[in-house]
Amino acid sequence: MELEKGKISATHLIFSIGCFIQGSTLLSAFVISVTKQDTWFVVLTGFIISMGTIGIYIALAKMHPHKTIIQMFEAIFGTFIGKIFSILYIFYFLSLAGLNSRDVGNFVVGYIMPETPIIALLIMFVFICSWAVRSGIETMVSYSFLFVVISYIVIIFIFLLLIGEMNFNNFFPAFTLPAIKYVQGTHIVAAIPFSEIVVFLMIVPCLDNQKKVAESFLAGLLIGGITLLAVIIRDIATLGNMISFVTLPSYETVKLIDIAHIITRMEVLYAIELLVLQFFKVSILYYATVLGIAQVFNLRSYKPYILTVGIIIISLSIVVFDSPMENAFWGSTVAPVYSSIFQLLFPGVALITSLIRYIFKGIKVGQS
Amino acid sequence: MIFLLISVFIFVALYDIPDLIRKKYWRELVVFSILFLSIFGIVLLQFSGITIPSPIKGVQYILKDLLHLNYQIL
Amino acid sequence: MNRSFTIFLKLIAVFMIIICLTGCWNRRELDSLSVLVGIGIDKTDEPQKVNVTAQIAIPSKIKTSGNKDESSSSAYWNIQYKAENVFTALRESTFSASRKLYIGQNPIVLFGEDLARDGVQKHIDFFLRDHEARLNEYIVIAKGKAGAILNVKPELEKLPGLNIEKLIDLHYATSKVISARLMDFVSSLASGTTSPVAPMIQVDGASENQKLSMSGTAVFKNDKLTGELDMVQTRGYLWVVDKVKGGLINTKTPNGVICLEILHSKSKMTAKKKEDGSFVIKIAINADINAGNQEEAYNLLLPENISYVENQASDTIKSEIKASLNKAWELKADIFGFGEAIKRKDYKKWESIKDDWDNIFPEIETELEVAVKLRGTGEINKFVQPEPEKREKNNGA
Repeated sequence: MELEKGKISATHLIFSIGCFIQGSTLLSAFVISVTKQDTWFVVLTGFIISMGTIGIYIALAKMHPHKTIIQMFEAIFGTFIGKIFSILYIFYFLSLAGLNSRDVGNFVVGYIMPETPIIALLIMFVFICSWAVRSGIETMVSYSFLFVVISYIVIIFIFLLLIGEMNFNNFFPAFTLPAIKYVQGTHIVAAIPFSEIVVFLMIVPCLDNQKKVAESFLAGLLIGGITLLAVIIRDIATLGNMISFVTLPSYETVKLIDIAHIITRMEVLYAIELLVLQFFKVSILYYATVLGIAQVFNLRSYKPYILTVGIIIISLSIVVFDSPMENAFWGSTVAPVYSSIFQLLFPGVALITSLIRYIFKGIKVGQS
Repeated sequence: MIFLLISVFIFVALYDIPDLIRKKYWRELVVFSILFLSIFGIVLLQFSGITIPSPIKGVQYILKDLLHLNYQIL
Repeated sequence: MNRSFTIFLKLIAVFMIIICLTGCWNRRELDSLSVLVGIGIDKTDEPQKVNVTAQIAIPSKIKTSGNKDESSSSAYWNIQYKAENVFTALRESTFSASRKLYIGQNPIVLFGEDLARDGVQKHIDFFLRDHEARLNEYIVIAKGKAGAILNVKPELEKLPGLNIEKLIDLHYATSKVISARLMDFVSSLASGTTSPVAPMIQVDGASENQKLSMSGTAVFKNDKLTGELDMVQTRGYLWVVDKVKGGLINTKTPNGVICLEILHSKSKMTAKKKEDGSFVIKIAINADINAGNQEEAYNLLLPENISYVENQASDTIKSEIKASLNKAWELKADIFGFGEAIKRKDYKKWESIKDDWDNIFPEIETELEVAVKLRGTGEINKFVQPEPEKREKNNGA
């Protein structure tokens, strides 16, 4: 693959995947508003279901080593249909990058600086992400380890400070909601934090040892999943009845820290965590978009498009929703279906077609 | 405001285009121009007040109102 | 693209970053903010309007100066404003206050008694939605007018709002008053059955030597004030919800009254189902006490005396709990969270009875189990008096 000459190691991939999933833990309001105090259970079932989708990705990566998902589609379906799928995927990655940047913007504008127009913030955020993308994939994944460590330290710190506030009676009554809510919750958790790893199918070709794809995906999923479970358990135990009323449960939880009136107002920890993790997430999605554009049109370099795609992401973030309420509605009802199309349907179809072609090639070879 | 916008776009063009011309990457230049000019147009429309329909809302319309494939919110 | 152009571009980038990252757009200089240390909300004669008293701290006057009585002016300023709701009042007070009000450091929200009778939720909603307000502010109900409470000059502190906050913080010393944070209050509002509670505060004394004193607990039905618990009933309530952290019990013995200090206490409240489907709430309390004051000689080294004192203490605790239960039944307000306990145990049953909770709550049976242990007698282990052998020797000689 001449477009991307960097090589990454398996450890980097593991921590990148972990960091990517951790970025979604701070915006867990989508799933908490659906399943309230049983969200921990839904996280576990979502984890198990997403093992299935990750299995599809691992199989695809093993069958087509050193190929990104866009090149895979062209190899499996031929040029014309492959390019249609690829353009749809570019649109998907672009929309994810826009939505995540919008989440950062919503948080800062809603909670910290209400009078700032969101575009000022988005310009600075996307500018930094574009700088990261310009440095190349090796630089980007090499600080994933640092981010994961920082994020774990912050989460454990907040957990310890909140032990006095936790009340494990808040987990009961358990399992009293109608069954469709659990299905919806599992779908949301499997689609939004966990299976967005489909974007890593654009990065896996850089892995120097292609045999380690399976372990890297699963280890990264485990790191991210543990964080998500810990954060959800902390939020449910601390907030209790209020969990379905607050817009950002993790933020309100951090706001409640009050040790002897001295250690208070630790919301800055949450803000730092959010900015750092979302920066990583948006950079990876940005990189996937730019690389995808270069690969679809068979170009020789992706670097000229970085700034332009950055401007597209900024304008998309502004246009995509008018207010956080629409974002919340989208997140709990339509987003799982939209994501599943790109995470389950298309890769599943690609895998089946790939298997069929493999079998046919085997039969043809056997016959001839 | 429009002046700031145009200067940003000129800056982006100045940054990327000379490199492409020097290396004689004509195909890349074509793709770049398509992307660049379309986003330039969209952003200009946004700044002069015309609301651009959001693609996500388009997806939401397709999935919710046409195909009814969404979950109900309580 | 020669090198100097690249350097020029990098300089422009750095310049832009420095300008943008200072956050000038939403700047709030410290001397353009007035830090609020207390908010009092009262009813006014005009309907639909509330009178908001905001206590602003004046930092320059808080510093302790050399001579104590040089500043007759106080370190705070109470500004009053009438408007439709708290948010409007705080904003419109900028007509008279030169600095925008900042509620990020506000420790208490004080409601006047007559306003509380009409319902507090429409005023609390602002504190929940605002991103600067903290969820661990204390809610206090004032007997009388909140503005009067905020005017009382405290002796030990410089700011009345902080004074009230510290008074509430000290509730663990006696466990006869409670502390209610905004978070606890709205959690009770969010559940269908629990009644919120909040401490009450009143002004004692004539107009020259006024001081504040906490007095009892206010009980709400939904968000309207319906009744009050006195000190003994408040302690009973705290025993049940496991919030007693200290306090004193005066128990009678054959030799005078012993003042016992509560060291720790733990209480568990569970709902048990009986055969006929109704519920029994089991309250189990474990308390550790210390002997603090003895009036006459009562030998606490003898095991039978120890168990006598422990039994007396546990009877006192039971009577306090019964007093609070009776008052809660009388007010038909579930302040203890029995409904939540039943909901945790059997959700379906709770769904069917929760609409009729006002009538079912007084009929709920309770089982009390109190275990008290005397853990120490302080630094002396006997009441100081001449030893018995010495007395016989004196008599004999």
